[in-house]
Amino acid sequence: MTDVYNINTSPALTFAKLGMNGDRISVNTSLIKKVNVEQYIFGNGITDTDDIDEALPGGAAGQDIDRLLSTESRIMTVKGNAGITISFSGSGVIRRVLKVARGVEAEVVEVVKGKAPDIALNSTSYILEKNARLKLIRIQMLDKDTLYVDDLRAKLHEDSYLEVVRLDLGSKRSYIASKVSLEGKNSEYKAHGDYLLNGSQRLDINMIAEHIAPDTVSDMRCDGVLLDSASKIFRGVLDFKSGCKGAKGAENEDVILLSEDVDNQSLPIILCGEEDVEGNHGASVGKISDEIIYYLMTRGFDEEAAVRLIIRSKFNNITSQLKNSDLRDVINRQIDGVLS
Amino acid sequence: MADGKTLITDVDHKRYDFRYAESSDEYIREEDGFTEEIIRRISEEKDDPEWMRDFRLKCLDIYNHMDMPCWGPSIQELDLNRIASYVRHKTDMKNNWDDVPDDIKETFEKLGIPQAERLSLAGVGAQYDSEIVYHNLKEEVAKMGVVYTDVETAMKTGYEDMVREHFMKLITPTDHKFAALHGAVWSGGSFVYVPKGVKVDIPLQSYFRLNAAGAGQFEHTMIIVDEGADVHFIEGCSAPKYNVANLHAGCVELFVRKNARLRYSTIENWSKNMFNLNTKRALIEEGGKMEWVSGSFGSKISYLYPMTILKGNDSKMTYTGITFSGEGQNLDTGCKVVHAGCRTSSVITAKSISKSGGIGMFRSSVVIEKAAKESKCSVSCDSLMLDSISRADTVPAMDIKAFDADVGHEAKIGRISDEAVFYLMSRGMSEEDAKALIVSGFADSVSKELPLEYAVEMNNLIKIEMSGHKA
Repeated sequence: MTDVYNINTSPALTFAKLGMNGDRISVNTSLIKKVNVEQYIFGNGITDTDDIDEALPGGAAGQDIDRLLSTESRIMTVKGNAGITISFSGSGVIRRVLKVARGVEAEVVEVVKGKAPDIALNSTSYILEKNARLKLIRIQMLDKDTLYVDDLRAKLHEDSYLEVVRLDLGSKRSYIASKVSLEGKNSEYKAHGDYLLNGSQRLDINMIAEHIAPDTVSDMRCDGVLLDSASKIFRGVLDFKSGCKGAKGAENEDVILLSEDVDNQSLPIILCGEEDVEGNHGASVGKISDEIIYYLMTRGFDEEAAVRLIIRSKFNNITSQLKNSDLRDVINRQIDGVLS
Repeated sequence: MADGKTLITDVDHKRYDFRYAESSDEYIREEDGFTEEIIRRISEEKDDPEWMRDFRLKCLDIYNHMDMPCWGPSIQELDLNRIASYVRHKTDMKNNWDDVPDDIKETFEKLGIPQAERLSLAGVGAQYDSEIVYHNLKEEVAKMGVVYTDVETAMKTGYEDMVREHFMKLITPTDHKFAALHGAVWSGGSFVYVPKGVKVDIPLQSYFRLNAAGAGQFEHTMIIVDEGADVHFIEGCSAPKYNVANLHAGCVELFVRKNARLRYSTIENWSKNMFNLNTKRALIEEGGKMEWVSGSFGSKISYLYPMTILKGNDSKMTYTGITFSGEGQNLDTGCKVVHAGCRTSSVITAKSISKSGGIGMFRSSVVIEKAAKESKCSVSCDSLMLDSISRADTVPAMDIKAFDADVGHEAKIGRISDEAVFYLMSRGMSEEDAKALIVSGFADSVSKELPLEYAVEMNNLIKIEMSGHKA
């Protein structure tokens, strides 16, 4: 049975005629099977645990998508570094809750791959207890026939720190919904997402940083490259709730357009109900500077090689953070394949 | 003075909050609501040509079938069945202040309009409720071929074809419900035509005053600046405060021809019972330049986003705006631009101050079409929160379809910086003076774009009273 679901609706609507307030997807729910998705965990840093005793954070994908999350969550505790591979072999949904224990410092690398033409829905909630520090690296390399919904939620307790690094290369149409609630005093959230889209790929992002407690800090950055007839919309929201005194938030975007047929939409929102805060947004959209290309050409590169070098260097910021050289090589080959 | 806060007063509306009773002996007032019978009576009253009457009725039909906007501040409190569409004094339009009825003349004298005309304006139009009551253009400007009158008079004095060609072609009745409503009940406003190559050195000004309680003002402004011409048009508006809702749903259509320039300055100071749902749009041809300067201080609810279509190659637009939201106000302001021609450029600079529970929203839309090669856009919006019971939000949208566009955007929300205050105090200033200087500086980039008398006026409006508090 195919139903239509609202997805990634912005928390602050704007001119309806722009068509940027959110999107809708059609999903054949009968095709979604839990067995179509496997999760492989590497290392000893993550163990299964009992039910959790606190409310889970809400998501940015929206209530319609919550209806698709009918499956039970797998609940785990993060106590150290770990790797996770999530592999789709057909339309499927995976739902997980990972609690980073008090005082733990960990790095989790997640790779999402496989094929799911109807929908691949990956819903993850991270809860960071007091003083926990987590670096989450998520690499998405799904087959280019896939419709992907990435629903990432996080709740940050006092003095915790979450860093999310993500690279989106695959799928035909991706929805990235990310909502981080800074509920604990002095909690901090940093996000850096990169994407490389070609062909008719479409990326729809709805990233929300919700400042609830005092002295919280967020810094969201989203950079990417659009080729061919690819399109992307970035909705970034800094939401300063009343009472989050001393909070600071920033969101930045840098988009390189490499084709006449691309479409780049941005809706960077700042909602402010507290006087004593600082919120900043900056965006830069355009082609690669002629001066930079000219400089590289005077150093012996032809124009195509110069462009490739510049793009590769952008993604190096993320690939260089990967300790697994095999994974790094796979990603680099995929980037080179798109740019060649 | 409390909690060591800097006290910054709300915008002082007292100067504008006076009224005169409107008796049925002197005034014509339509019944409340918007029906076909009312539209036909307004059309008959105005002796509209047939095409205009038919257009009004078509707009009413569109209005009846359109939904309210699904975004923006709530306007549920606005009961359109309790708004009078048309109120006018029984006198005709005059071109001599002495002939204007006493109560209306006193109103405009209190607002300083005749004095401003004598001192610094090339022409003045004054609208009271639904109709223009006074229009005058300096003789030397008229001799240059400049036409400045109301739209109704323009249709009856040889400009009907020009009006018909342009009327509601930029803002169409299907744009939104209040554009349709405007098309049905529009009345008054200004018609300006500046011939080819004519540069008008001093500004023209129209002032709109809505005196009647529970009424709407639906003036239509149409300005055509022909090739190579140059003009500055100033629009001011105010109303006394009532405890019932008033509605302003005007339309402004601006046509800037090849290599022409138009500066359009607005100081909006409606009373706090006003729903200001105004629509402004400009079409700019090759090499033309549009400059918007906007100060929004009044209204209960505002939806105000002047839109510019940069159709011609090398056309340009600047928008400089400030919004001050005080108690009980929800001012949703900003601007829209569409880049359609090659090498077009736009610069958007917006400032917002909110206090005492006021809500300030900066909302913008930048669209760069695929054909708009090598176009540039820069958006900057700064918001200053003066307490924690107010709100300051920014929702800027960008849709870039041209791969060689160059788009930059910056937004900043914050309060008065302690470091800046400390720095100025270390240079010998008192805390009060330091904070006053910072707030003045925040608004300075906008106030310096205003005509001098309006810059002074704005400084009066944002009357800054500093008082330190020693704990």
